[in-house]
Amino acid sequence: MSQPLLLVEDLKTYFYLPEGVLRAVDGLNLIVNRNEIVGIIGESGSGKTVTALSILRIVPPPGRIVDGKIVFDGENLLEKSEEEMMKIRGGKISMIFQDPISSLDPLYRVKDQLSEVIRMHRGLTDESEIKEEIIRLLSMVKIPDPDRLMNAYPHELSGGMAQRVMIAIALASNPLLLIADEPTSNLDVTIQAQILELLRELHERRGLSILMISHNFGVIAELCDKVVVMYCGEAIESGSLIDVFENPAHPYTKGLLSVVPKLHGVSKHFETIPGSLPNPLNPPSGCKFHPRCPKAMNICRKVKPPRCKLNRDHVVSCHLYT
Amino acid sequence: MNLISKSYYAWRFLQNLKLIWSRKDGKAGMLITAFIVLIAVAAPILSPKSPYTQVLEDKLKPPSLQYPFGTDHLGRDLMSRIFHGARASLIVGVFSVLVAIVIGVPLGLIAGYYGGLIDQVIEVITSAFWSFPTFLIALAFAAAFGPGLQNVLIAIGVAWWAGFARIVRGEVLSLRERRFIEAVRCLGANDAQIIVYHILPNCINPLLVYSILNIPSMILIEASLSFLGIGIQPPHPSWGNIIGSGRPYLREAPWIVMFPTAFLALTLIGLILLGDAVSNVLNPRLRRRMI
Repeated sequence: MSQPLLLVEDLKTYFYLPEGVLRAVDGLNLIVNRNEIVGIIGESGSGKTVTALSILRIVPPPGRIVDGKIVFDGENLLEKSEEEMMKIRGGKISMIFQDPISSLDPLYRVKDQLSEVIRMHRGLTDESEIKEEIIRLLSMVKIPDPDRLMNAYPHELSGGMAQRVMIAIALASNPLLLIADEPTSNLDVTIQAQILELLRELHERRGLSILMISHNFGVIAELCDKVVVMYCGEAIESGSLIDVFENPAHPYTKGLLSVVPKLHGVSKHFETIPGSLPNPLNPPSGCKFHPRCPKAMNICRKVKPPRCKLNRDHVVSCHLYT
Repeated sequence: MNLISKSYYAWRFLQNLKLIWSRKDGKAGMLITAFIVLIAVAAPILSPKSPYTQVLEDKLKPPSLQYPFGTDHLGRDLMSRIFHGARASLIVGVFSVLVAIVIGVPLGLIAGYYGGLIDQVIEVITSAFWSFPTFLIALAFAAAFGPGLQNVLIAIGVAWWAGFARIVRGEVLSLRERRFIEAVRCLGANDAQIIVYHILPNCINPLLVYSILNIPSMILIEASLSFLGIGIQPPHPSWGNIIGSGRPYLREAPWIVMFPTAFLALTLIGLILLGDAVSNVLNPRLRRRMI
């Protein structure tokens, strides 16, 4: 097996607040292989976005990457200088966001924003070459009439169009990895499906690896090969899509999946997981899920569960499997 | 990098001008300001006589056909002096704002963008300048730099930059949290690129409004400094020093004080009206109601 494209090992990103240390990401392990779509799923506040920002090393202060290893394409990103990171951001790793319209600078037209990235990362200077490239990128993300749309300002775009433009910008540098932070959350369902379809197509046609962050099982199930379930900054379960969705091992994953309303079968009420996310400044001892866990044992209160391998890819952190 | 399209901004500019013109205050402000600018630019043509020629036998003459605004204590034609004085006022108004921008805007950008210790240090300096009456600081700097048009406008700019730093810092604080700044950083832009291409252009509107609203204050400070005799020095005409030189003759020759004061007031009213109209037109919420 070749080395993975992205290997995150024991990543710890802490925020040093006046009230104490907030462990947003606390010992996360993650592997993205070449030509693979990996989904990170978790509740709001489980550290999904901070993970993405840590990989690009743009965690806003007072946050800091305290420990761990982020190996991308054979190089440890945590040892890179800031200048080298700038080349990687938007170069080999691109990112798209939840709210596409506000991710575009309102003062610049679509083509200006695209040409900025093309100049920066591809070093093209010839105007006509740049224009050709802009049109190629916009048609690649299936924007109708790119000649006209490239002169539009962000406020003239719909959410779906803006997200396509964001994807075009992200792909301008031919990245190896695209980090998509809830790229469909604020879009309506038909547009959501179109954007996911587009991402899948880009993945299949160009071999683009994608790290997909979402709180939506549907989105993850639609797109991903592998899934990582995050809870309180830790990956509590990871494995192939089938492993995790058909055969969930961790009580939290089971709970999450039972919460998803089903189309078939009658249910009288919504299932819920009792309790809420613990205070991140003062997480529970042992397994962080134990106060909400229906199968909590004595040991869960005291000892942090080890990572247990259920099969080649399927890993779970839970005392039930030790 | 030529990121901003010129044609769009030309179009926006024309549309803004139309909107300003469509308001009563905007129209009055534009007309008055245009009138004063015309006087300043065409002073040598419009003036009936040289502003420097002294005709001592005609001193302290009341307004007449020969001297429309009368003469001062040295027999110089007041109308010519006032017209030439308009130049000093406008030059000071515009250029001291520029000096203030050159000092205040970069400081505000740096303070707002980097935050932390840098912000605190700049904030202390800004507050120090802000807490003193601006006129007092301008007075001190003007006294230190010595008299003369150039020194006066630098002194006023140096005394006035704190407001610009404040405005820009506030804007940057909200801009730097915006999604697109994060997005640009994710695309590999460095701090300088982010500040120059993405933050500064988004600060232009409030900056423009603040500049225009401040020009009258700058003109007034220049007039006050010249009135006190540490601004523009006679024989060079400035409304402030004309008023100052007319003060001892207030009883016998009130026109020496009256006319430049009237022009000063007119200019300030015109600029304030214009500034108000500009700020309303550039305010998106009020603008929607106008279009």
